[in-house]
Amino acid sequence: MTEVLLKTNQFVVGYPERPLSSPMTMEVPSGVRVGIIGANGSGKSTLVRTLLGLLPPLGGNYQWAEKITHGYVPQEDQISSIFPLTVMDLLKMGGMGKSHSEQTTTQILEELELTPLRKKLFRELSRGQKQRVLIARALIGNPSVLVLDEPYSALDDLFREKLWRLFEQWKKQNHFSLFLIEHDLNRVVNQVDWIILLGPHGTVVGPVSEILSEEVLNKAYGSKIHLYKDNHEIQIHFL
Amino acid sequence: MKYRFIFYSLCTFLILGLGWLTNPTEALHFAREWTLWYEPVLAGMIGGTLCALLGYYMVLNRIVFVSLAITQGAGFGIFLAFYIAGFWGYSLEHSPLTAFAGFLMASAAAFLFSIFHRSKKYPDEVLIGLIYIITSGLIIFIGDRIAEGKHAIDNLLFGNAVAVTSEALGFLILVAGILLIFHFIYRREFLYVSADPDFMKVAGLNTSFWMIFFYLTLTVGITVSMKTLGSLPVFALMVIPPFLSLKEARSPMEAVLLSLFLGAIIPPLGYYLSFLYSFPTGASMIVIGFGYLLLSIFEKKINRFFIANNSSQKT
Repeated sequence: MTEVLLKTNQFVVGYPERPLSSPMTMEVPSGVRVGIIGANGSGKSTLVRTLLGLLPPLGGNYQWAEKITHGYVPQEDQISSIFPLTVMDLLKMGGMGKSHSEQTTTQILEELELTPLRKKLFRELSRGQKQRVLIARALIGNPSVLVLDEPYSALDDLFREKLWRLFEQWKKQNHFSLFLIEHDLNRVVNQVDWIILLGPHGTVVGPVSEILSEEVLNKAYGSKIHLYKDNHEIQIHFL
Repeated sequence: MKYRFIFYSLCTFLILGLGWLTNPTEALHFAREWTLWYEPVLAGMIGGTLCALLGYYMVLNRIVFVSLAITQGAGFGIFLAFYIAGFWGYSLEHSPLTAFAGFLMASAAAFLFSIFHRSKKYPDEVLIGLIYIITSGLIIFIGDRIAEGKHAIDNLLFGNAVAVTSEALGFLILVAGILLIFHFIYRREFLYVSADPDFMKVAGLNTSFWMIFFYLTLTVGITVSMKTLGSLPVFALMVIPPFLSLKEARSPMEAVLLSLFLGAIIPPLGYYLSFLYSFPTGASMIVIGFGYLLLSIFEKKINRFFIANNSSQKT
């Protein structure tokens, strides 16, 4: 039997007097890649922040499997430019209180092409470089669940592809589960095993193979959607 | 890092030299009468160092005006203790009870702020403004009726006190020592929780505990410093040294050390200026801080010159 990673019951996220999702009841199995999709303002980041304990749920409850550790890459860096923190300081922040080897740090820095930047001040980096540092910071503590809030937003196409391959590789090595918020519907449905879709007309949750149909998407988005599947790729078009 | 220390040391010698050049008689007098001044000057150095350390985190946490409200809360507590004691016929002028009352009221101000802040109904600035203006009004209101009178108000608010008892100095050293040790041991927790509380919470750190702990040290530090330095200089010392140190800092360690250095030298220089030209002591400290701010305009250029010279020598 597959181990349950996350269990929710009538779980609602949002702000007082402004719920952003319909009640969600789900059991997400361990080791899967979960894509969280929806339009702007649909509550994707709020959902993630609630599941990470940064916001209280509006209703229902949720429970992570025991002994879970999270690595979190926020949508925007929260670090004010007044902080004189170097890239290495950020990595130390990620590894605080956790056992990680010097070798792991070196490997992550190399894979994310951050080695030449290790002594640079974080505030002096470009947006794309900052995003890579934040991903490295989340990975350094060897989390069992990696949560990424739009990690590709500041990256170029080349690095997006590279990053995805790295996630796959790390996932195989470290057996973590992945929660990925992404705007690009076509990209995410081809990369994940599970979907949480926060549509304007309802929330849809489940494995991609089961829930990805024109009928479900039409209902969730409240508009006509064309779904095209071939052997390797899914294409979604709003009509 | 060393260039910044050289720069600010040179600024210090410049200020000392200017004082000596413009009023050599009084400058000599200040040096000769050192035994009369060493206690308040030492208290100023310790209080300034403590304020600079706490101010460093305060600036990083973007809660500069919260500390102003806490400072006024502490002032109100001290005056309330004076008033209540006076009502029953006692004098608390040198009693540690006043510091305790100040701490209680400062904590109440911090607690009130945190409750309103959590409700997110009103902007923080409004709440800070309300706490500040009410406590300031109450200080003057009650101060009018206490035996110590206007003189005590001036000392507490503007830091005009030039006499510090050995007991008060000992108490300040003890509290500052404890707080500095705590901040040294837990420097990473304080820094990381200030930098990115969400990430640290997700990573498993109890961020609420560390923030409460920080506010506790802030409240204690402000209360004991303001009894020696006064409310206005305490606020200035919590803002100017951290701002100067963070402006061009290349590492957290550099910023903290420079902030402590500036916090330690601004109050004695304030006493020096006050002595030379009979200015109010608290205001003199702020003027010295302002002087460093003005001189810091040249910091970047001079540092670049030093670094460029150094690298050309190496090549």
